[in-house]
Amino acid sequence: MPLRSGPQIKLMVCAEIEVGEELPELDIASNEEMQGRYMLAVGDENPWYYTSSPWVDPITHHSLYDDAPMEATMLRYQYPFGFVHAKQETEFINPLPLGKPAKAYTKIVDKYEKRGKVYIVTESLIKDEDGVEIMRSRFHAMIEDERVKEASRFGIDHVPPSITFKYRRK
Amino acid sequence: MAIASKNMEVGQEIPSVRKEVTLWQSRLFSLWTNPNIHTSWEVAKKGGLPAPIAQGFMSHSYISEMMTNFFGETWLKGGKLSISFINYTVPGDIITAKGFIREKTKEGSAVRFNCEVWCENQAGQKTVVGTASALVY
Repeated sequence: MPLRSGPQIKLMVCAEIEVGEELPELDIASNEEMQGRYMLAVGDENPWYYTSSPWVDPITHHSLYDDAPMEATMLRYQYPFGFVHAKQETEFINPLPLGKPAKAYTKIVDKYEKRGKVYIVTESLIKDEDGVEIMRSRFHAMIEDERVKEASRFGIDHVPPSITFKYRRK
Repeated sequence: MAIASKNMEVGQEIPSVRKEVTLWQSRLFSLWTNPNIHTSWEVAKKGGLPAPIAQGFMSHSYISEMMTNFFGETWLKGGKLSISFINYTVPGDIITAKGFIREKTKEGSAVRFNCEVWCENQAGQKTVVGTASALVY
């Protein structure tokens, strides 16, 4: 996919970012196979994610939806190199039963400058299909206007998110 | 499963979690999707990085695993984590998640443990720093 802006997809440069903008909702579909991959990747062997937990059996590991703010952002903004992940704030509200459908509601809540760098802050609230709040997370990403503009001039490909593997866009 | 108890003192260390990070794990965490800075040497170099870097979310998970082991249920139902990523993690790194109790505050019949948490690599260099808290009943 060539790196270019359009009516739906904007270049991720400071001037284009609109604080308050609501980003596309994401459907989260967890299953044993997907969870198994993440568990292997992070080496977590807690049985709560495999067999039994204090709530239901088993629960979804949060790594399956930790990146919802980033994925939702990449559906609206093009950034060629992947984000520089600067900061993450997470509130674990309730565990999500494995396999229970959930949604991520995301918006841009801030952009700021620090030591000459620009940062964008997106926040996702994850809710299950019954409206129970699961997790709230804020993702701070450093963006580099000049590099994005340069990539645009030279036609460096945008790396689309892994959306088709893990999330479904509403 | 929880280790934390109300009578623990400020300064108490949280049992650490140690991980050897591989490129295979970074690729698996990316679900083997298209090449990116986490999975491809070529893309990482185009992005000005020395090597494919592990996703920050992996370190996020390491710290959360440590806190789940320590707090048990109250971590995944009410825990709060705020971390900053200050150095890259690359394949071959051995990352250890660590922490200690910085402060205890009373909340009703429970006590909230406010903790310092971080990840460090095999050279002792911190890669992630931050704070975490959860209730102990």
